[in-house]
Amino acid sequence: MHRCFMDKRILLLGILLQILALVAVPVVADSDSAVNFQVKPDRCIALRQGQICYQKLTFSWSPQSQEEEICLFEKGSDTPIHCWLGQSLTQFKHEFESNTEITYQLQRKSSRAILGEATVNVAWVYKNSKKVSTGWRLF
Amino acid sequence: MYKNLSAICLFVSAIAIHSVHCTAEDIATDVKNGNRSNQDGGFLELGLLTGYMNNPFHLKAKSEMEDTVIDLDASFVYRKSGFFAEAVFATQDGVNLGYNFWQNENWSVDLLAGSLSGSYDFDFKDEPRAANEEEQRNKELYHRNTFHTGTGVRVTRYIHDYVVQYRLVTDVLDDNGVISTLRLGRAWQYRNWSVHAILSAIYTSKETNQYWFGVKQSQSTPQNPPFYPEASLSYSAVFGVTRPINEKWVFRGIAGWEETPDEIKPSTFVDDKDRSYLGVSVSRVFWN
Repeated sequence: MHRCFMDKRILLLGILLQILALVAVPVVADSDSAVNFQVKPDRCIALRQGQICYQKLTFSWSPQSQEEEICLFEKGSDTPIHCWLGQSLTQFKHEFESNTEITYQLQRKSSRAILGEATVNVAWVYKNSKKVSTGWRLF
Repeated sequence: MYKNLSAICLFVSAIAIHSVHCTAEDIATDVKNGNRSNQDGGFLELGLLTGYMNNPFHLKAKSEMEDTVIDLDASFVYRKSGFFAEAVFATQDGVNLGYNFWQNENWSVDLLAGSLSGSYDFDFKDEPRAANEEEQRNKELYHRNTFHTGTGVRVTRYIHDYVVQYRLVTDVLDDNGVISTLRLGRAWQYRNWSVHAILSAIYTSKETNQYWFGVKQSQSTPQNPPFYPEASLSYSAVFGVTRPINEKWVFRGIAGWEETPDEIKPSTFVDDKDRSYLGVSVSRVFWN
């Protein structure tokens, strides 16, 4: 009897967590939408696959009402690319240098809450087909 | 159709510019791409080239390429099980058909079954006929074909960022001699630009020079006296840039110089100047 009651509590907790998770996703989406964080262009074209691709990027976002520090991060990095006070900046230029895609995030500095996210993809003209085996060929 | 093919051959060889996959390939491709592989596949590119050429050759086939050039920029490379076909934009070595029969990380050895350069038109004559009248002989000397069907070997050495390529081919269709080239190439990347340079030493046999520029006693006229050039060694340099416009289009720029060897300068069909050229092209990459 007691065990059954415990199972029900665990079940309820699970449902509650799932509901919270469902609620949390729209919150982030709403935040993205409000911030309207964008990067242009969102694609860098290299001549060859694997080459470092260079592209001047312009990030833009809607003005933030709160006077708190906001930072631009590369996703996964703890070091901000640039930080500023809420309304003081709505655009930022940045030099992209990478051979793979990079996701950028707009975050509140204090809480690290993500306000927006944008990804720059890397494409190329010629695929890299480097694969050299050693030896003789006999048809 | 044939004229188109002839025009492409003419373009590839007469312009002789080279600048960016692969079994050891034409050095221009190797250098431009900065890599190689033996994977099957290839690419096809079509575009438009425009530029300026200072051409010392006055054979009809080549003089058509003088001064301002607006022409098709066509490149094709395909590899399958070691076999390859190459017609690379701006290469010095024309169209190559061959087979890669040995390679390792640093070396590659290709058999060139057909290394085709120059131009051929059925309206032109390989051998001006001695029996013809003077005017006709002049015309036939001027309108001669320059098509060289080489068969031979190509050895490529990869040393860090450098590519060294030696090529030895002999004309198999009409015994028009041997051409041998030694080239050194290197490419650099500056932002999204690929920059490359190729330096070459070119040996042309006596028979090939005779085929291209010589005048036999029996063919000679007062305007074109007998001329028997010796074998020659000349040098060339090429500098080029390539930049992607988007995933399907590339921009190229090319500048080059090619020495006219002293051995052929006395020819009535050759000016006392070197060949130089400057051009830009925009090409569509159809399949890669």
